[in-house]
Amino acid sequence: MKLSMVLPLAAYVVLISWLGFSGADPAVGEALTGNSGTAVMALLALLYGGVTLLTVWLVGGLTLFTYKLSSRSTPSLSGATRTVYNLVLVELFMRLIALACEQWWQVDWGTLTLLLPAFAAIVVVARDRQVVGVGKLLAMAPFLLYTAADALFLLGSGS
Amino acid sequence: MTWPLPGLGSMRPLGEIVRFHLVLAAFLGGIGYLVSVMVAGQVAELGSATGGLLGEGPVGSTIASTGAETWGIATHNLAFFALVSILPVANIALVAPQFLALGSHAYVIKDLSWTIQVEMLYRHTVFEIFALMISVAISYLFLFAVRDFVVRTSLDRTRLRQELMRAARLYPAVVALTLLGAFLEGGAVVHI
Repeated sequence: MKLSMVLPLAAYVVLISWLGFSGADPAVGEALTGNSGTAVMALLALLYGGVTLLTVWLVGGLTLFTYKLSSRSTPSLSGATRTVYNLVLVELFMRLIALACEQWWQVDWGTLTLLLPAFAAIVVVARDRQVVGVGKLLAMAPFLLYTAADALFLLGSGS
Repeated sequence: MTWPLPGLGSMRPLGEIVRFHLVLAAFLGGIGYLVSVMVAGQVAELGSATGGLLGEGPVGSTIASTGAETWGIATHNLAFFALVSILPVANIALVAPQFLALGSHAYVIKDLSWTIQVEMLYRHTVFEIFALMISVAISYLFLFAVRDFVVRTSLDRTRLRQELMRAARLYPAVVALTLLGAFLEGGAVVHI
């Protein structure tokens, strides 16, 4: 994994852990770690870090697979990898904005920001001449399905 | 040592992965058992552990499942194994709690006779563990096929299809083992 990927991922994990920490019920933190803020943050970072790595690996890997499967010729692996993982990263940061909106202002329209990476993915596929026909639907399907599922989850958790 | 399933002789990593899951299963089963031992006091306060599991049936009663229960067990297990087989790596989060629960169940029925223990838990669990391990193997075969396709410089869809089909050929074994396990679990008639 390249540094250009590791740094944003680390930043995302720190930010989402902090967001989770600031919104956590103090009683739960006390029961788990004896009211040690650092320990709660470490637990959250471990949890979010594991889930984030698994999400990036699974969604990114599956999308790379469907992208290559949909192409008429072999796409540049490094180019496709960069595009797909950048989209996943953008999606993660957009969900961070959505979560912050929900936690601080109790509004769920922050989830609309997830439209940005979804739209970007559609544009990438639409502009790729090597992806034609049904392939246009399949190429980014895992990423778009994940984004849609995440949006539903965020809307559901906010209500 | 070669992988025992036909056609997978060169799948050494897969053998390692399945062995790792078996060791993990034994370890987590032990943890589940030990946790149950430690909380046995609290369990006793809530009611006899055996009585709780068996619906507090009196000594001399008989417990038998119905056909609907057998079908319910089979469909539930098939759905679970199907999910495990398409989620490589992440499926460890699905598998681990099963073995923790198995260790816990083993503790709960430990005071019953060995025959009843086998009929209630171990007889069908053996088949379920086999089905689960094959599902895990399928998930990694899918992963290897997809990974190889993505990193290969050529666009070899035929090879991908062959590799996916080779993995999919293990599904009948999962279905057969699941049905057999469900039949044994649902068909268990226990006399206490």
